[in-house]
Amino acid sequence: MSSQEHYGSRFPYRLLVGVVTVVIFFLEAPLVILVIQSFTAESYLAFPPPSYGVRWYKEVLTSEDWLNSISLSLIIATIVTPLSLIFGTMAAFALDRGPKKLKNGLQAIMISPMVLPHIVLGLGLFKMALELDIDDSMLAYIPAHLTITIPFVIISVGASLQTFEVTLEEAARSLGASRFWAVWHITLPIIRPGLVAGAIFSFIISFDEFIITFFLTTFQRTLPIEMFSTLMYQVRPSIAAVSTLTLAVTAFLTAMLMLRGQITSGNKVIK
Amino acid sequence: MSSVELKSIVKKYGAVTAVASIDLSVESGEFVTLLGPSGCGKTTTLRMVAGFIRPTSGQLYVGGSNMDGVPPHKRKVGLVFQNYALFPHMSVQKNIEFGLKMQNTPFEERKDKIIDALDLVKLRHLEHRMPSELSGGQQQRVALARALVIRPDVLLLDEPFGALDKQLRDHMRIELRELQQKLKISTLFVTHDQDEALSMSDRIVVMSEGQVSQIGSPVEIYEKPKTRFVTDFIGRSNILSGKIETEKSNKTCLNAEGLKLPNVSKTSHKSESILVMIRPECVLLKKPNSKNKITNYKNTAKILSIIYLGSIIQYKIKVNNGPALIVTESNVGYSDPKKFSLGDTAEIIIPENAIYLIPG
Repeated sequence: MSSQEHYGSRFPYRLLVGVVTVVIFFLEAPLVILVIQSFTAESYLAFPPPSYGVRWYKEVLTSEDWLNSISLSLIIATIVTPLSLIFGTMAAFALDRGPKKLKNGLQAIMISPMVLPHIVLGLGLFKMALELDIDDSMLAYIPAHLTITIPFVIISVGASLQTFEVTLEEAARSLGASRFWAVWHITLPIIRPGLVAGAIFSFIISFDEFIITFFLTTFQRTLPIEMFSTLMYQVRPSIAAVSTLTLAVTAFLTAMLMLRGQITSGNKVIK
Repeated sequence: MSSVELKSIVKKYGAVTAVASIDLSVESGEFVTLLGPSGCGKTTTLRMVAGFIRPTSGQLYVGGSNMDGVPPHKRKVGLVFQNYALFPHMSVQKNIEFGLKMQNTPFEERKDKIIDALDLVKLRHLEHRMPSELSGGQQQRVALARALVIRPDVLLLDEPFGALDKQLRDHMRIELRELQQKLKISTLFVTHDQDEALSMSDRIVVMSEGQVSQIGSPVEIYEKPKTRFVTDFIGRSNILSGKIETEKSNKTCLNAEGLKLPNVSKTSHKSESILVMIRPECVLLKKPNSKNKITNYKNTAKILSIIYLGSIIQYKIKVNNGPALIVTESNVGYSDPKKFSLGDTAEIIIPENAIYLIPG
């Protein structure tokens, strides 16, 4: 875009470019440095590393502690994602189709775990898990993660439902489809971008969750908790390698999400 | 047997009455139109027949069976929406196939029925297109084919031409009516467009504020409206308040705000207040002093305005010592459009059968 499209002097435009550059630098530089450091061949972290190698990746991928925590996090996220999608979608339908008067109030309650301080939520869940004697188990992690992933599904699916033309469902019903099959064959395929976004958000958030899980674990360690406890004793390049792996998973999923967004917006439903 | 029958159907939303006791039937193969301004309850009525709205009270029958508690998918109705509501993620063929699949029609039979439906609306060549690749008129036809392929007891059409431009609308109007007559399918059609109603229907149900104002054939509705509302809503008309007077010759005549007309009413009650309806196209304008043998009542008027509309010319005239009237004249080749100029005096002739009285 040429700067001539802007009114007046070019100063504000240059200022904008400057600010954006600084912000991007501060956001991304630590990550870039971390990724570069993870490829060090030395036994300590330095920037730039004196020599390069993949020895720390080998160590991480052969260490039982790291592998256990990675698989625990993957298992939790894999169970949480479909459950979050099912419950969140059902809630989004209820909000969209239910009484209009209740919508705003109910929605605020349902998505509140997203904005509540996670430390407060974690404390509450911790007390509850102790009472029910389910702490340090899947029975505690999964519901706890769901409380913070479901709101994201409610929001992304809710946004899709808002632009969905309800007459399409009515048309399906007049053609002999029960309410359930009308939703199944017509509504869900059309709001798929919202479902995919909700699922990816749920996976990333669960995989990445630290604060709440921290309250609920004793001996078991998810990946973020393993990283944290490793850091407590020593700062070794293995941390940088694990971080880079985590970053890769998250970045891959986010990229998929953005790509999908592009695909679906290029294929917009035409009325 | 009636395809659709409504018996004192009422729909209330809290204190608001959307539909106040409607009785209506659509006979087998009949094309019935619900006509009225927005908010008159016509769409609510249609949606009750389709099963999306539950009546507050009353009985509803489709194909002879009581529909109380029957969900939409178990009613044999074909529905066409104003926005067509084609499934955007399915091809034309899949859209049409959907209803057949829901009815568990076997694959081979489905194939034949889809082809028949596509032929019916002349879209065989477009079966693999997506709805977004079709024009408005084509989408309309697909929606029609989709609704018809399941052989419904009644076809319900909710303002189906609302989104089309005028030329296409006029064309689709004829096409739909021909199709309906060919298939002899009972049809309930909702519109606010009187031209659509008049040109397509076997019977028109004029609705106003949740009530039926009049049910009748297009001719009855246009020429013999029963209420002031119907008169105002259908076509243009001059409505004057009139009373019956006795002339010196002891004959009775009709005085419509100063316009002297023959007494076409059967009564001669002088106190009776009536409304006199005169359609603009029924009034003849003549040059003064031309021979007039149609009526004994001589009224002259001044031309206030002339609007040239192509096929017709519309005059606004002021009757001497009387009301202002709208008069239209067909622009037939042999009539000179410049017959009158502003301010001219014209003699007006109103044939007796053009005067229609409504109880006031």
